[in-house]
Amino acid sequence: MKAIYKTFFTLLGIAAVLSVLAPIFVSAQTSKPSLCSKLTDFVSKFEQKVIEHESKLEAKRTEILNKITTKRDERDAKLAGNRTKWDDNRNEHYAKLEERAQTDAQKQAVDTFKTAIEAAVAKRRAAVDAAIQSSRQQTDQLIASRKSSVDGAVNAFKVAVDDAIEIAELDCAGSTDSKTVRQTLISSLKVAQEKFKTDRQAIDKLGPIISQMTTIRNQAIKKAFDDFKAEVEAAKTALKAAFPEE
Amino acid sequence: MALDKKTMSIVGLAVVLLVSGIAYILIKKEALIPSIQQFVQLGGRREVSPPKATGKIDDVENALKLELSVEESAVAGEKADSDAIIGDSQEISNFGQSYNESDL
Repeated sequence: MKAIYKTFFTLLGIAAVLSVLAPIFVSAQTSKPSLCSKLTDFVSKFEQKVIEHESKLEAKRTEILNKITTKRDERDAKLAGNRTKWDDNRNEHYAKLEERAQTDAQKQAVDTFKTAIEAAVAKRRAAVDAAIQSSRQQTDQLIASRKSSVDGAVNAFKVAVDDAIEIAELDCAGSTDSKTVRQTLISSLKVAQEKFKTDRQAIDKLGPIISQMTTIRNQAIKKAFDDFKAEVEAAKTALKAAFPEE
Repeated sequence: MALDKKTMSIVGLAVVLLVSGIAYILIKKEALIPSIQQFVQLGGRREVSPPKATGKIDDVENALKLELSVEESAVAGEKADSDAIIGDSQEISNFGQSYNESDL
């Protein structure tokens, strides 16, 4: 009888110990496949997100290009319209001066003035057009360069994430414990993310380039305008000499 | 009764003045809207109109100087292109949120 009790309590003890240890064993056995299955889902979600972001970026790029083209066309049309309007106005001024010219010398002076001013206007407009053209070319180059840099950074980010996932999958299939696999993966993803952030910040540092572009353009315009003012002044002085009463 | 008539007259006058005031503000507002719209369309800059020809040499010179401001504003508009370049910054940043750590 004693032996029966002894056996019973021994079995009861073993059962109690097993009931405590069993969940630990089960957890250790099931956590690893769980992470692997999560990885598959994670990759799927990541790829879906990247496609989504690429699509939105492409749409934004198209929107920016369309906006720039439209605005350029609008400015060109406005500038052309204004030039025609001011051409007409200059012709009205020339006509009035011709009306005033009584002597041959005055008529000649008006003619010389007109020729000088028209040449100065043409020269100034050519300089303005060149400055605009140059500015647009530089802008287009910046857009192309930015696109290339962004695509490179995005691609590097995708590759880094893919590599991290591949290593995690290999570790998952091997003997590495799930906790280590997860920590390694998260660490690698953070490195990829930080690298992308750094690349992106470098790409966004366009401020000094744009400022330099603006400065160069403004200097070219200022020179053209200063030259124009000097030419007008010289032509005016010569004309006034022929019209001493003014 | 006389007092009531006086009070009513004052109230009536106040109402007339109030209505007239509101009508005046509305009329002014209507007249102002096209000007504001035109000003906005010009990018906040007033359109410079060429001055009338007089035959005076100084007036010709002033007209030529005014013409410069028109070309100057056309060139200034080019800056908008440069500003538009970085318009995709948010879309680029979004790539950094392509995964969620809590999904692991």
